[in-house]
Amino acid sequence: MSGFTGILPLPVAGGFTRTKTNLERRQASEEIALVRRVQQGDELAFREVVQRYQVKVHSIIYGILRNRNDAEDIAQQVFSKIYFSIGSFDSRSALLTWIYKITVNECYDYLRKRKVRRLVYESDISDEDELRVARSEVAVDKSPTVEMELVRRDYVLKLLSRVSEEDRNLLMLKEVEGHSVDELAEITGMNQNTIKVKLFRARQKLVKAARRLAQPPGRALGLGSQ
Amino acid sequence: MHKEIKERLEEILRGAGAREDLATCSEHVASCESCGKEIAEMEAQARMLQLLRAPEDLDPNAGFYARVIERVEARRSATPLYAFVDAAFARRLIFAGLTAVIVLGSYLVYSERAPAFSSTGPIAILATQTPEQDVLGANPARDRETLLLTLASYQE
Repeated sequence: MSGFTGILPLPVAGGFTRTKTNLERRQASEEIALVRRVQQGDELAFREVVQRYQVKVHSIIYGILRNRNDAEDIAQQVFSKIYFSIGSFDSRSALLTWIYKITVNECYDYLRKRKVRRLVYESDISDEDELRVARSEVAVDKSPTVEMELVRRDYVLKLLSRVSEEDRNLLMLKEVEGHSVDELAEITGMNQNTIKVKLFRARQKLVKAARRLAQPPGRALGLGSQ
Repeated sequence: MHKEIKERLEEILRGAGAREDLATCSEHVASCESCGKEIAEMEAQARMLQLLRAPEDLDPNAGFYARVIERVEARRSATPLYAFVDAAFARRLIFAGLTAVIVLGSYLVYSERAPAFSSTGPIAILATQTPEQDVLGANPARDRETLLLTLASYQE
């Protein structure tokens, strides 16, 4: 069983989960207390939230957009959103999971609104490049050039824009942040089996989206040769 | 994708250990073209998703918190209805409103019931006189006194 931490796992319905260590429990209760303080309008507590998560938020944005100026601007927007909507955060998931979701959504909003075509998101990808990546993704080159890597990044961002917000966040937490299924269950407050099922469905949707992209436009619309 | 592969998918996709897990499912994967193809596609996508990892941690520029607060203040002043969004303030506002309604309501009810003047004053005595007392003939002695008083006033 993955995620073994030296403590015997307790059986739960539908699978196993690891028990929280004392340190994790203390951190969780500290986080809940911090969130409550922010919800009550404590500016110092908000400052602590910003200081605690600012590097993470900047890094997530930079990973997606690869632009420092945009990262600063979107990070400000993210923390402003956190300030105004923390009242709706119920501590069922980890605070970082909630912040991660807001951050990724802000990045996609930014890409959608500003249509930053030169950076990412349908940016430099010509239809030809896109088809090339889509058709050759199974045999991914192990030593891609910088240009090819950019094209692949754009392509995967485009694929992610075609699945739901929940699927996108889960896939990114798994593959980009590198969380295990155990960790995902813990930070999202969901059961491990639920996480596995959700991940499977999200991956399937991504595969379907890729297959649709790989089809020539005419065929995708059902206008293929008879 | 078949059930046995679906259940172990995350282990299969995980990396080095995944190959061992894949080996246990190899018979099925070898015989099932659709499972093999789908797993290969998912593996490729997982690798591409990893391209979205930041190459290194990005530290914020100095004064980041101050700029966040500036943005918060700008947004707050742009939306005066924020007061109603802020739960704590809204609770206080509702409490104050209810208190004001109760105080005003009880004042109005009390002021309707209570007499507007003292019961020992001359107006109160006149107001509380029954109509019977003003009818001629009801009290002859009083009528006589009233008549004499009127005549005396007339002579003067």
